[in-house]
Order: sequence, then structure tokens, then C-alpha cells
Amino acid sequence: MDCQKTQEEILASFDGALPYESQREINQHLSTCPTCRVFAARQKALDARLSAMLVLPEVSPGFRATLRGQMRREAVLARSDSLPEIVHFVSCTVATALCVVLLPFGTSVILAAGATAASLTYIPLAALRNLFREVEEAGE
Amino acid sequence: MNDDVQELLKKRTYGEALERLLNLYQKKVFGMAVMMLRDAGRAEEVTQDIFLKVWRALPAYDGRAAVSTWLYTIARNTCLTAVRAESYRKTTSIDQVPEPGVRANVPLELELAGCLEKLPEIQREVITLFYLQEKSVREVAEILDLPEGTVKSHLHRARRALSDMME
Repeated sequence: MDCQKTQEEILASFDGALPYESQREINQHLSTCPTCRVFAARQKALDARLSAMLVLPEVSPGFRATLRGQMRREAVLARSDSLPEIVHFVSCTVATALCVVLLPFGTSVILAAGATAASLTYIPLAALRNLFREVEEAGE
Repeated sequence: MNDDVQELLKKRTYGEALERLLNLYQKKVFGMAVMMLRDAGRAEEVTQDIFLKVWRALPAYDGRAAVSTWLYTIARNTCLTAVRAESYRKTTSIDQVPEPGVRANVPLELELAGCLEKLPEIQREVITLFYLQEKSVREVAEILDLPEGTVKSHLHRARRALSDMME
């Protein structure tokens, strides 16, 4: 094993365990090459310093509780956001049903058809709203 | 593990799915945020935002990408938005914001933090994440959406460069 290959293997040893054979060849080379011994020692010291310095701090103990709180608030907001639409939809349905019962047949059919067509517009409206929201989130 | 999450999503039990994702990825996502924002407190806030976005987006997750890939994409985009919004890298110097875990009163570590700053961006990201993610090349590759071989190559270049700088 030459110096370049040895140094590559030394660097690779810090990424994960090397096969026994590679480790043996490195040791063999190091026993005869002072340059690579210095390289190995420096890399070992660097690895130790990086390990000591780059330590992931713990998240605060209340992390998940805060997140759940935010999720609950969002859920309540989402419900209250759609409440006017639900009320609107239910009242329209009730009003249409009353008209169908109370008005003469021809008028009530036209009215019911108009109301159904109007209520169907909610579907593309909801789809468009979701699409815009997804595009907005993807953009973020 | 990801199959469990997929199963929960099929059953539309989004709360449980999020709980599972938190158990699996909270630490990794937090590590990514710490690396990108260089401020543990801000990173925690951003990690909360990330999981809130994930929770909102769970019903729309279509299973085309692996859950981890999908989640890390949201995490990366959210971190980038936070970095851009606060212009961390432009307005703060390395003396003000030490690397994660740096005990700033130790001169040797400050020297090493300074050397890390001099590395090309991708090498700094890779080597920082490698140590924050418990030395897992696979995790770093997944988080940065890079092949493992590329991660190793950046790691080796970074190690050589740091060693040369500190000679």
C-alpha cells in the first residue's frame, strides 16, 4: 500500500469500521512510514476535537407539549374557518327543500336545479383552494 | 419503520403518524436545523415549525417518495426560509455565533470553529452534520439528498483541509 492509498484508507476509517485486511495493511504501512504516522495522528486528534465540539444539544423538555398546543390551536382555527361555509351550505339546503315543498312543481324544479348547480361549485372551489395552499407550502 | 408510518397514514390516524415521525426524526431534523441556523434556540423553533408543516401536509402525502425524503425536503426548505429571512450568515460573525456545542471559552475549539467557517459550504455542512448525526454517513446522505460516496468524498476533503489549516 502506498502513502496516498494509506491516507485515503485512514480517512475512510473515520467514516465507519474498515475491513480487517485494510486495517492490517494500514498498520503495516504505518510501521515503516513516519509521514503517514503523522497524518494518522493528526487525523485522529482532529476527529476527537470535532467529536467533542460538535455535540447536538437536547431540545427543551416542553418541545412536544408546545407542538401539540400549536396543533390544537390550528385544528380549532381550521374548524372555525370552515364554520361559516357549513352554516351557509346547510341553510341553503334547508331553504331549497322548503321551496321545493311549498312552490308549484315547475318553479321548484328550476329552483332546485339552480341550487344544486350552485352547490356543485363548492367542489372546484375547495379543490382550487387546496391547490393554492399546496403551491404556497411548496414555495416556502 | 417507515411502513408503520404509511400504515397509520392509510388509516388516517395523523396524530399517531406524527408521533411516530417525531420519535424517528425529531433529533435528526433538529440537528439539521442547528447546522443550518447555528443557533440551538432558533433551531428548536424552526423544528417546531417543520413538524407543524409536516402535520398539516400529512393528509396530502401520496407515498411516492419515502417518508424520510419527503420530511427532509420540508425540513430543508423551512430551514432555508428561516436562514434567508433572518440573514444569519450575513449579519452575524463567527465570534457571535459559535458552532453547535462549542464551549466558546476554549481557544482550541474557537480555532477549530474558525477553520470550519473557512471550508466550502458543502464541506462544512457535511462534516458538521456527520458529527451531529452520530457519525452516520447514511443519515447525512439522506438529509442532504446526496449519494453516500459524495458525502464521503466531501468528508475526506474537509478532514484534509481542516488538518492543513490547523498545522
